[in-house]
Amino acid sequence: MAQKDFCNIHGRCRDQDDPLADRVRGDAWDAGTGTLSHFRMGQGPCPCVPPASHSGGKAGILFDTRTIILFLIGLAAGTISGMGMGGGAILIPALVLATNPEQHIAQSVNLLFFVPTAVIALVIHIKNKQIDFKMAWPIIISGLCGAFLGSLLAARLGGGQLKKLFGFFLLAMSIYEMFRKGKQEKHTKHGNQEKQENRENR
Amino acid sequence: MNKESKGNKFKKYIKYVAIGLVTGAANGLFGSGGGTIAVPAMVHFLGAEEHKAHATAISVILPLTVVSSVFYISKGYADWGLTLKVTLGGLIGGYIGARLLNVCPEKWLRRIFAIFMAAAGIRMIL
Repeated sequence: MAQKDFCNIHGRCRDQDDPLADRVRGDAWDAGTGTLSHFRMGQGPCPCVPPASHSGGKAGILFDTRTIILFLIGLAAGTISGMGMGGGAILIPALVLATNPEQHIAQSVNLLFFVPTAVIALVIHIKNKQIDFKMAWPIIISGLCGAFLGSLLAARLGGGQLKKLFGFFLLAMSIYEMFRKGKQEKHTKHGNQEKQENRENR
Repeated sequence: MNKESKGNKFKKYIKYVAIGLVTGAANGLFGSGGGTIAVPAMVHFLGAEEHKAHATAISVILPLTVVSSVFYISKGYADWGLTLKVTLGGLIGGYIGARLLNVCPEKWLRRIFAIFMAAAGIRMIL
């Protein structure tokens, strides 16, 4: 693999003609770590250095160290969300801190990751009649507008800005998570039932 | 229907719309966190039962996530290889998590989870 074609965002080698390389060029330089995080199209050889795991990959694409790390991050996030706690709050920061993908990419992984698991959970809940559709509909309709606006804003922001904003969001969620414990402990009677619910939920 | 109950109904719909907008915006902007907002909001503002709120939140967040996903993909922010690897681990983890739930003390897990989130949040801000 030619080093200049290595893309740190996608963790694999990219074609020079890939339009994406150009599109996300604005996020190429990561001032925080001082590394170039993406192949710079049309600017000569890219000085980014592939991680050691990638260059030594004699075992092929499937079982290099990076893949194992990614798998383990997924495993940890899946385990947490299987217990009924937010999976994205683990998955995105773990991905960003361990393998340093571009922030938008890390977020898209979580979005896509959620879809199949949610479909399975939803089927179970519909069968068990646990879903209050009367309550859901108006929230879904306004939520779709919100989702569009939120995504639009995300696309406007640079990777670095979005990462920082996400950090604040995480911090706020962690404070809330610590705060709400006292409340949960009051409802220990429902504890078991809730746990059962959560198990199917996520 | 008298005036008062109409007013209440209107108020209730404002709440629905606000919850939807905030949940959707967070989910689109951060690619996560919809559930963290929707579940407590339904419980506190709409008086939903906790476990019904959990289930209903999934039915709300799934369509929002699909919209955001399509948007992210169209902007070229999807990395299928990365997603596949993480999702494979995630599906197995989901099973393990569901099994572990009855073994591990949830209180402590939540605490560890919150500490991790705080540390990661600070790390990402700096």
